[in-house]
Amino acid sequence: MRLKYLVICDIGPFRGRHIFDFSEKSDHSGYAFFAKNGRGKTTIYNAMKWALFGTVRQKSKLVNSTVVEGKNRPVVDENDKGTMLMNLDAWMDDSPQSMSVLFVAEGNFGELQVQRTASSKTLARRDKDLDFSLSVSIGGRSFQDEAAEEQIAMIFPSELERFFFIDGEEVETYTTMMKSSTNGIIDDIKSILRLPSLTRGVEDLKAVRRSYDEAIDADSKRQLRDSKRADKARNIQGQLTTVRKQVTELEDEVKRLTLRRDGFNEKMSQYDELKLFADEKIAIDAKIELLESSMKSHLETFIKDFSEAGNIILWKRMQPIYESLAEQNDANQSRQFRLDQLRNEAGKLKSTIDAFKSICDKCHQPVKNAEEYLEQRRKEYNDILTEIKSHESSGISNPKALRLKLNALQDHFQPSNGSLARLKRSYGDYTGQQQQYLDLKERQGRLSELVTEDSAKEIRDLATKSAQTSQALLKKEKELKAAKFREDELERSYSNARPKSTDSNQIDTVFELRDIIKRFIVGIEDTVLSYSKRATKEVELEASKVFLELSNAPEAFSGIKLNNQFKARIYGSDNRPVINPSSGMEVMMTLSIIDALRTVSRLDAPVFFDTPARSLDKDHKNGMLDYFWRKDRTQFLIFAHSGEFTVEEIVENDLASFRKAWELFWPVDLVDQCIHCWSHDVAHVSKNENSCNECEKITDKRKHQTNAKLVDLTNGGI
Amino acid sequence: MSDLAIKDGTLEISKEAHIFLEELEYNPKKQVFDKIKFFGVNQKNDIFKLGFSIGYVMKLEFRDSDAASRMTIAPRGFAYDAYRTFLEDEAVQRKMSIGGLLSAYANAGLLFLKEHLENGRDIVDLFD
Repeated sequence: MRLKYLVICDIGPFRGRHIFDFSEKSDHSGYAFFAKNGRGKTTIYNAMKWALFGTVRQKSKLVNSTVVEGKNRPVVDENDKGTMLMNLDAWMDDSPQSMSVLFVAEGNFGELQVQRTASSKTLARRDKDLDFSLSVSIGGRSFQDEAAEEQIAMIFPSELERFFFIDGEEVETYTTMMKSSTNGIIDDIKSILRLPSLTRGVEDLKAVRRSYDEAIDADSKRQLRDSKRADKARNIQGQLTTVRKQVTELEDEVKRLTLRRDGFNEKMSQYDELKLFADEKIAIDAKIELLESSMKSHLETFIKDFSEAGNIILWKRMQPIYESLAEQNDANQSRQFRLDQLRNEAGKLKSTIDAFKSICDKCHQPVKNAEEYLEQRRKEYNDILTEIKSHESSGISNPKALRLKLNALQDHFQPSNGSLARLKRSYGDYTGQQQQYLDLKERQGRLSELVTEDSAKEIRDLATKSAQTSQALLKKEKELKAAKFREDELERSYSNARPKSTDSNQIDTVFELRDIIKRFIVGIEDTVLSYSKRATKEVELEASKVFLELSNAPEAFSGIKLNNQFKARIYGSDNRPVINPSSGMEVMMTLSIIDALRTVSRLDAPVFFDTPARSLDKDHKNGMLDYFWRKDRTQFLIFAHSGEFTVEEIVENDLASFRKAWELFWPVDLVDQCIHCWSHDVAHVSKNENSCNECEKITDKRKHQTNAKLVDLTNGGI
Repeated sequence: MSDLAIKDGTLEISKEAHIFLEELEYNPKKQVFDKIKFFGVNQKNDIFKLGFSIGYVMKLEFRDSDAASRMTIAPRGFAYDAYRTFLEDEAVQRKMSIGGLLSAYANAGLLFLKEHLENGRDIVDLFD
């Protein structure tokens, strides 16, 4: 793949749009940017990284032999203007603000255009205030944003970034890592060998296998649980089958009864006219039946009251007799009382007369008027006797017989009090009901003439059957509802009780898949191991080849060897590790390995090398350029500090076998030259400003705005 | 009261009166409500007494009936002595037993009642 154009706009010290053209085809692969510090070498380097990966990191550090990546640099940050990527003037003056990079390349996929833009219509203080967009065109097909990122990742895998964006300042770090074979470099080397995808694939497959193992384990546990649940479920299923059968039978029965009831109702509709009479007759029949029941009760009361009827009538004649006898009895009782009284008085008088003495017992004197007193008592006594005789002769002969008669009349013939009134009342009630009864019977008789017994019977039968059917239907509907409710209950219970997954095929498939994955894993691990060994060998050979070419004393070395942990060492021509190699040798070793890794990985991308000659002596840096800038190699772009390389130096040393080179200037770097058109026809306008007589633009020496000047390589270049 | 010993005698009424007597009985098993019933079954004593009361109070003339066709009323514990208290003299006078005199009055009374009801008159009239 060849880089064709790079267009940067308002990034770093580059104000406005700057176009770098790499499109001319050439056998030479070298391109260079020369500048003093701060002029934007690394900005161009970073601009390409930003275009391709969307981020630019600060320098990584080596902490405890591990590479710790730097933080992402912000596009804008009002609190950290020193690290922000956007041109400061553009950020402060432009509206809308925008920073963009267009990366155009050509490869076996056709032309690649990558344009990444960060913009904001209002002042963006932080990156979150910016709108980022990415558009990618590959072979005429366009992609945006996420899809565009995916397309870039296919061509420039981010994990390989370190091997085509080489930072000279980090080469020493790399060297340290390679010598100590830390984890960081292993990961990087694995990345360059494209092993992570396989390794990740293995890890992914192992994760899948673990999930299958867990599924199988869970399945065996579930099977145990399920066997218990299955017993319960079978039991419920048995009940459910029975209930479902009941439901079906009941549904049939309800359907049958509905049809039957409707049939009766339809038949009954044929008797609509007669039905009125029949209904009345039925009603009257019912009334009569009800009345008969009531009459029976009233009749029993009446009969009870009427049982006194004989006495009531007889008493008409018996009452005077009874009263006469009672009177006689009363008189007799009065006379008897008088007799007893008289006899008592007579007895007392007789005793008084018999005991009377004419001489006083106490004073023994004669009683005064004694004879008169005694005579008077005798007279009274005789009068009483006369009256007694008179009473005795006037009385009835047998008072006992009289009382017997009275008792007989009273006990057997005297009606109880109010009996007549009760009899009349109950008789009235009963006869009233009887009249009603007779009226109903008469109406019943007339209706019977209108409604023949047959039709009435049929209507009655139909009504009865319809009612019975409706009742039966109601009953069955209730049973059906209950059965359905039960069915629902059992279905829910069954659903809860039955094993959740009884699909044995599913778990069999899991077993099969697990075995397949297991074989895959073994296969991939074998492949990784095999490839790793082969690739390591290949890298060793390639790195040794490069190293020997880069070395200024190739005869002293046999090459570079990597152990299983990718720990690299330089071997001498005696096939022994070189003890205490120089730092330049080690940097060369690192570059050799990086280049070898890229070669082995078949990574087809330009190499961007920032500050490439750092820590290299003159021989090594010249050797490096000599190697990387040879014909038919991948494009190799260096971003060289003036302390590393100068154009003059390269030309003088006949190293200028590169295609193009640019020098980056600030106005202050130029003496009487226009920063815009590079014309020397300028006039001093003020202390810091020159005015160009050709482009008429001002060159202000105070501004830190970079412009790139194409180096004239007519003499030393291609 | 006569010294003549008056027998209790049999209680019997004419067949016609007996049929009528039975018509006055209410048999719950038959439950006929279109005719008025006045007495329950086993209340022949009371029916007989009603007949007697009507005949005796109204001093109805005895009605001759064929002795062979008379139907006996055989009430248990019939209180002959109670009737004797006021019928004995008349029984002596008529030279009838107490039962005979009772039966004659009852027969007359029942047949009177039968005719009374058959003529559409109300039984209650008899009580006023």
